[in-house]
Amino acid sequence: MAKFLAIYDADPFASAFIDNCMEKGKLLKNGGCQYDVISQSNIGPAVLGNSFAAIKKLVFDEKKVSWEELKQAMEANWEGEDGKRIRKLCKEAPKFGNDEDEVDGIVADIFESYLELLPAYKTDRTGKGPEISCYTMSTSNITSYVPNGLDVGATPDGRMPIPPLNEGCSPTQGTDVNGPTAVIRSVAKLPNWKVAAGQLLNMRFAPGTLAGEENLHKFVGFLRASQRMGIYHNQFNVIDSKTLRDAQKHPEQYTDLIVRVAGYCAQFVSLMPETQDAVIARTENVW
Amino acid sequence: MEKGLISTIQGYSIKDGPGIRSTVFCVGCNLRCRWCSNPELMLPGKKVMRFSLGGEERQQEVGYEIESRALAEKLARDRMFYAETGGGVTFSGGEAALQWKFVAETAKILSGMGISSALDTAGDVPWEVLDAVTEDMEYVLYDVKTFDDAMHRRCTGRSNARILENLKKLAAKGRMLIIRMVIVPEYNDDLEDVRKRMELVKSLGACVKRVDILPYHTLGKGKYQRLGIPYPIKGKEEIPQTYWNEFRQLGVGISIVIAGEHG
Ligand code: SF4
Repeated sequence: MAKFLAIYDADPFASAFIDNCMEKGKLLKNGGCQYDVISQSNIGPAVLGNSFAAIKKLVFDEKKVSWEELKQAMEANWEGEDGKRIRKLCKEAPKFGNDEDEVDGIVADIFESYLELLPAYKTDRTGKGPEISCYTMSTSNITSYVPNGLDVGATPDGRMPIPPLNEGCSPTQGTDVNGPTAVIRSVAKLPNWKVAAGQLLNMRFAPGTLAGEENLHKFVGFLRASQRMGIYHNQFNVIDSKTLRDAQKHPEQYTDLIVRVAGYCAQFVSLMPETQDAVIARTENVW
Repeated sequence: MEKGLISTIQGYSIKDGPGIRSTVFCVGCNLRCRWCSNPELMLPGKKVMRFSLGGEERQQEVGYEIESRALAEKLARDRMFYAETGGGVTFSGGEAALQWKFVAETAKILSGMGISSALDTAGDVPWEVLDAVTEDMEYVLYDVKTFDDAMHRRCTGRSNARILENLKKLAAKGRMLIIRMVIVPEYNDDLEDVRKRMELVKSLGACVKRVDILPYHTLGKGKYQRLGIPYPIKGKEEIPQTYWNEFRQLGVGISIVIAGEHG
């Protein structure tokens, strides 16, 4: 990524506004910046954590499935009787986003180990000008979680090959079943304050949940409580699945429908179908 | 330590009292409301609901036992949300008051943690029980299904004499009340009876914080199928706006919130 940015995003205009570029006689992406900290994007931590949790539970703790059996089932994309049975067990294993300490702890561990390893990586511009040149962690992977999923085969959390990975630091689509406060409690267990380049949490609420003054006040209280628990970034889609499915069928009638995809908003109908499905699959909180 | 039988805990509950709440659904009820949308909570004991989803046969077990301390600790995990919104815990069901020792003990532990509780009840239990179970609670959400006794028997299978008596006693004790009325077409939508219900509510005085009107819905229908029991009521489902206009007139002077209207 950095290599391409150096060529295609050399950007003399932006460099003119950054201290040090002039003195060094270098553009921003060529080492002109004094403190050159790059956001390194982590993709799919919940899928990974859920997968470890499933392996721990089924292979080690309960010994219901052997590692070989699990591997075979995944290689066969969960096909056949055995595949189905094992997939069911995997899907029933604990999932991040439900305030279950063990699996949430595994996801937090994944963050910690990533954070521990990250400083050892040098950027392309290290030693070429910046005083500090390093990576910092983020989960703001924009839509990468969708195309990345295309390259990832079946995973031990019970996921089929091809569907998206989890978005940002959000629970895997549709696996958070204990409501939004449980999601917040799970995410609050992550080292959020160390994820300096953006910790992206996305949730979807149905419109009725926020309708009327009283419910809006409750929602504001929800945000305040989340903030006090260390969640500094939370994005919402307030729309029901029915509307989104209808928009997939009749795009011409929904050109004004804007949704939060991940780190950005987009016209829903212009998204690729896989991304649309991922937005729909994000658990809809409805009461 | 008391043990109780519950089905689920619903977080971010916004329909069962002030603020953001967690609602605990207790299993078992002594009424048999024809419109009950939670048959899995009405009938006693653990049970299994069977259904098919995407061609796959599935089953869902309803009901698990939990100790009051463990439950209170689970509920306390959302304390930040309660604190920010003036919310807390609501014990609902089924009839939570049937497991009164367990519910009272949980509420007491919660109260010790600084967490407010509410009881959602149909009120058909001995006064001593109702009094004891609400001891450490801030609110009582109280169902008033009909005023007329015969109508109550038709709708729920039991008399409402004790229910209305208990309501008056709660008010006399100064308990903060949220009255809940579900209106079901052709069963308890008679406006003359509604008028009497409203008069009763007005007579209770300032302890009534508001009246929540819950329009009847048929979302529970599927659950009857899953339990293999027939859905007990027929009749129209829609309530015309003109009905609600008249309804509001009867409730003038009290704070009425009709779900879905957001007025
Ligand atoms: S009181 Fe509530 S739970 Fe009991 S039968 Fe009536 S509607 Fe169902």
